[in-house]
Amino acid sequence: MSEIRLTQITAFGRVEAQTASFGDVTLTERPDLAIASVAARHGQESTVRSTLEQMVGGALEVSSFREGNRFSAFWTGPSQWFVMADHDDYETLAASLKETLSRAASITEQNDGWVGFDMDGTDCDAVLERLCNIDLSGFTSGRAQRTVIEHVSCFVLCRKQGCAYRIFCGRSYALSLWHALATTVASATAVAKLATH
Amino acid sequence: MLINHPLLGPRDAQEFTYLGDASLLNRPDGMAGGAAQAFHDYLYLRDNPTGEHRELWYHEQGDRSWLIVTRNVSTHEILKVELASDVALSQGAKP
Repeated sequence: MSEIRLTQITAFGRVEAQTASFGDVTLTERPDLAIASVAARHGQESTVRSTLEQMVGGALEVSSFREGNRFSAFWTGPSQWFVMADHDDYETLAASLKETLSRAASITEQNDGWVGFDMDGTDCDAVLERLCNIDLSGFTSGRAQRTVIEHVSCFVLCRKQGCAYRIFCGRSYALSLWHALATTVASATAVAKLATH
Repeated sequence: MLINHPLLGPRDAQEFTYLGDASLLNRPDGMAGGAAQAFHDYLYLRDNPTGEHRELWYHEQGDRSWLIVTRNVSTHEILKVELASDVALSQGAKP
């Protein structure tokens, strides 16, 4: 039997993750994340939720995002969550979640369904406030919200208020969202630089 | 216009899409007697009063839940927002 070796490529058709820096804001594509969506079946909400909460080591109530040692998860809708883990360690994340949760939940692999970007810097709010309508003053660490950025449906996760966010969009929108993010970061950085002169 | 989502709080109306009157929840039983007439009425006959309407809205750019928004179409005032699933279950719908 012939051995088939396939090279993994990112949502941009590359081997390496897409990155860009403007001022002190850095954008980084995160192809190293395995993603699975979990939807609790009828009457199983508390079972599924407590299992996921144990995995991430924290509460997963409405609009929350928790990062544990190996797994992280965020609320996407009533009785629904996205679970993330390192792709190399948990490439079959969806299958292992299915083993754990069995008939309590419906699970779909999202590794190639969504693409994640990390935005890190000292003033990311100046960027986000130009991109979406999230109320950033109340968008504290550990919160998640679905919103629209440049007509693209996205999940925005707050890792550290003002400084670190993770944004997910449908994989086929990767280039469009990247363009929106990079353009806005460049613009916000330029405006901040002008203000200091 | 802001819609006060029961789980998420006030959200901009641009995040939502509108489907129609909340009476769409009362879908007739297709296996019962007189189903053809019942479906005709369900599909084609609509009340169109002024004032308060109960409407189905979908939070497409949010948590993807269906809501029943009670709205006065004369004043645009939003009087009540409920999760459609809660309403359907309370009306005896099968989960």
